[in-house]
Amino acid sequence: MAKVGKMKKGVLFTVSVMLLSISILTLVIFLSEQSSKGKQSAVQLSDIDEVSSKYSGIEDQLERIISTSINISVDNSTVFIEERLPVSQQIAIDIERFAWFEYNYSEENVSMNLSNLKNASFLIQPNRIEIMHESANFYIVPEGGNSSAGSVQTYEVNLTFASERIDAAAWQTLSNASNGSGAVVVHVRIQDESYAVNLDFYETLDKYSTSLLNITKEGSLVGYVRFYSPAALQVQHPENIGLKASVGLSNPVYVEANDTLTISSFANKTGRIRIA
Amino acid sequence: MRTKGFVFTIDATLALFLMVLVLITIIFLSAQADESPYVNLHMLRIGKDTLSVMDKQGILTSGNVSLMNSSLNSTLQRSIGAHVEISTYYYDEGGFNFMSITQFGSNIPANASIYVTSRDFVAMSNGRISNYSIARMTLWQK
Repeated sequence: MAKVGKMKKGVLFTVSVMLLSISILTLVIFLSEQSSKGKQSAVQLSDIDEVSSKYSGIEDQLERIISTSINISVDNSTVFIEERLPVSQQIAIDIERFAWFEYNYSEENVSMNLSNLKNASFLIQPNRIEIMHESANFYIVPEGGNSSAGSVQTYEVNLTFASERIDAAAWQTLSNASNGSGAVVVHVRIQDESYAVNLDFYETLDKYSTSLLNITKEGSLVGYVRFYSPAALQVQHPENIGLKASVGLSNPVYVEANDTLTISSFANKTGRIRIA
Repeated sequence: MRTKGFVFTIDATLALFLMVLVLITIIFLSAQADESPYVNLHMLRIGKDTLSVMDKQGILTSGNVSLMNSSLNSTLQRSIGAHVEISTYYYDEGGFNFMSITQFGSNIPANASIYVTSRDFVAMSNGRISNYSIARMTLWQK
């Protein structure tokens, strides 16, 4: 009887040791799986982070290239543009070469379609308002509709011409409006570098009609500032003038180029190029 | 006597088995603690941020090694060592030509886990790109 009792104790001991061992093994396997999942997540996060960093790094460099000729900044709902017109052709050359450098030397696959950026064309978002440069013209052109043209509230335009290049400016057509959703408040300053000419024009204009301010020298047209439907601005200019312009909108905005940048690696990122 | 010896052997084997299991678990858990997968991510992020700050401040494009060294030391945590190598190219006749390598930071230790990140940047001069560079940063925990 005593022998049987001892055997039972032995079996019980062996079974409990085996159960304990199985529990520990199960715990180790569970921890190992968790660790493997954690590592996998970390690798995925690392890939996404790598691609995001590359993307923002390229955006930074493109912004640096553009800023040699055009400074664009945003303060909540106002976009500020400062540049010399016409825009230097060197921007397009430098953007093209930088894209070529990235294509050749980047560890990731970098694909850039930068045709709009090379033409110094930008978008004020989310309102889809275009900022464009075409030969001797500078434009800010909203789309029709409340979310685009409807959101334009103010324009400030400051044009600085070379000394003795201009001597007068006057409205040829003026379409005033009373304050309301169809009105845009404008301030145009026309000056020359010597400050011999320094003219300010403050008006509340009808967004959906045309107003034209001619800039002249001894009666001959040198350039003009035109406001036209829908809430658009055109500056027709001669060579080498300084432009400071701002457009005030009714909502917070940002500026991007209407071009796409794609980074492909273990993760992918495609998007427009943020400028400001 | 024979039965006692047999039981003793079984008992010793089971004890050994248990001890080995406990040891494996301890080693596994300590290895997990040492090689957290997020350390890699964290170190690379530190490297990228440091390069980005130095680029945006114009320090990487300055070519001034002592300025780059002091900026690196003031930006990085003391527990992290770093070495930076900048390869610079210029554009000529339709292609990119190697120009120079600039190195700064500490020497890379032989027996440390290292983490490598990079940043491409351009230097501007007289309103145009003067050269194209790739900065490669190697980081390690001191």
